[in-house]
Amino acid sequence: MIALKAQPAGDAYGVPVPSAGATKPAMIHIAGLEKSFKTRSGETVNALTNVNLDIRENEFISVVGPSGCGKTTLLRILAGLEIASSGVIQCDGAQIAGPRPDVGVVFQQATLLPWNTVLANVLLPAHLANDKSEARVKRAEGLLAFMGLKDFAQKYPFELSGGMQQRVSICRALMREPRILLMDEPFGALDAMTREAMNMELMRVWSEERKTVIFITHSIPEAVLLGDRVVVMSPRPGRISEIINVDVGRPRSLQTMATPRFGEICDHIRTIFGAQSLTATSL
Amino acid sequence: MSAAAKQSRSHLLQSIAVAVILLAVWEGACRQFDISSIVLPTPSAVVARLYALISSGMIWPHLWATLIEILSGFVLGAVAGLVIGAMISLIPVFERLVYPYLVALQTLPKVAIAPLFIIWFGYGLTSKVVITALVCFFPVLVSVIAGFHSTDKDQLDMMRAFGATKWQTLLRLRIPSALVLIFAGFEIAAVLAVIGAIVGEFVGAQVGLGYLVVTLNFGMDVPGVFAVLIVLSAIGLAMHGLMRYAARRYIFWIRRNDAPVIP
Repeated sequence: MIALKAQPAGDAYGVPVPSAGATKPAMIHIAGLEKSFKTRSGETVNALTNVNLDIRENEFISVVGPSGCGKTTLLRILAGLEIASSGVIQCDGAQIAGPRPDVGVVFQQATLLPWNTVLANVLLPAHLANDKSEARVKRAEGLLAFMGLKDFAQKYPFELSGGMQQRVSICRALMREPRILLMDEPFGALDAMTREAMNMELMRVWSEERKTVIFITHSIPEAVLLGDRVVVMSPRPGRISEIINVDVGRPRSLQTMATPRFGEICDHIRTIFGAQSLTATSL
Repeated sequence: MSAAAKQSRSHLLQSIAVAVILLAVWEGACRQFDISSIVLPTPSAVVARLYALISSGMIWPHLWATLIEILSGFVLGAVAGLVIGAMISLIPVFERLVYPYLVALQTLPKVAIAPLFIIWFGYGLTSKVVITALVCFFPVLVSVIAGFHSTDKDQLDMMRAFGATKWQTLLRLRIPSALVLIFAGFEIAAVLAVIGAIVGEFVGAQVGLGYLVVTLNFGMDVPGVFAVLIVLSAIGLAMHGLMRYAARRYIFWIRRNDAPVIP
């Protein structure tokens, strides 16, 4: 807030991006990534073509694009749930070939287990790793308290609202203290008000527990508000059309969305999509 | 009292009122038109006969035999359905080899094989237990298979992403997910169990409520037949209630409205 007030309106150009630590080597290195699926009728569909992206440690990357642009596929490959058809996708220099313990995933649906309490749901990753120590329970309770869910530890998911369920799912993703947090449209199913509150919550989490975050969304303002960089993707075939530096200072708040620079970046992204739909109609 | 509770109470009163009116019309019509009790006994005659059957102690051995057949047949059929259903769901080879034959067996009316079971297992309890078990087996089998297929794909992804092994996924996700439909299968099987036992007794028995119905019918004791029917429907209701109670207890996360269980 203070940083924003100090910033004269419209003079955000040329301000060095605080998070752009250019000296650090990339944590995640993606080069020439391809992914194709066979449909039922035997046709090959290219979900991703020639994706190149380097992500630094502790960077917040937003990925925005219309449905069918392969953004979820990209996240699933990063999560180790899908295997790339070809190309390089490395984390710390090793090709991602399956789920990794240092990665936490938040899905579009909260995907909580309805027969487990909130606490047991948060503890799930620890239990799966056969870690039933008291320290893990403390960690889970700490996360729930941090997310304002302290009093809900012994409740069941169906007793919680959608926003609360998604917060539990974020706690679960943070359980094993991952270095990378993958989020696939986590707030897409929430109403606009809850969604904004969750965005603020997520920024608070990120400032507290620094992680490399890859955040998928179809909302342009959400992508710009959260990201250090916004990866703009386009469909058929899924590819990266532009990577945009969000040169807006932090900490950001909902008021950040009212600043001219924020509007400019959003407009720029809309232009990219607009240009695409123009070419699409002229084809 | 909440508005919803008030409404459900007034609905209950309405149902009772309808029953009372129907019984009164029935009683009145039988007396007015002097209908023979062999054709249609009056409700009061049925109640009197039921009381006589109970107070004379005549009904107890029959009730006891039928209850044993129903319960042991249900447990046997349900366990077999669970085990074979789980094997079909989890072992692909088993599904390929066994499932087609089970489907073929399922299409066969079980009642039609009842006489064979009497020949194979005799007139005693065993044949009735086997028939009941067979009748209960299929709904449970089908619900187990459907239950294992109903695992949410997103939750499977979630388990994988957090590093769950196949075994962990089975115990922590697939089995609890399957429970919802399995309980629906139990509920259907519980009601069918009563039918299975009675059909078995019709075909050949020396004791049991089904045998009693046939005997009383043969003696033209129609009020007695009605009295036994009341006992049978009470058993059916009790079995159904038991299953509902178990479902509420063990699949508590399903709210009543979304439960795929017959109301």
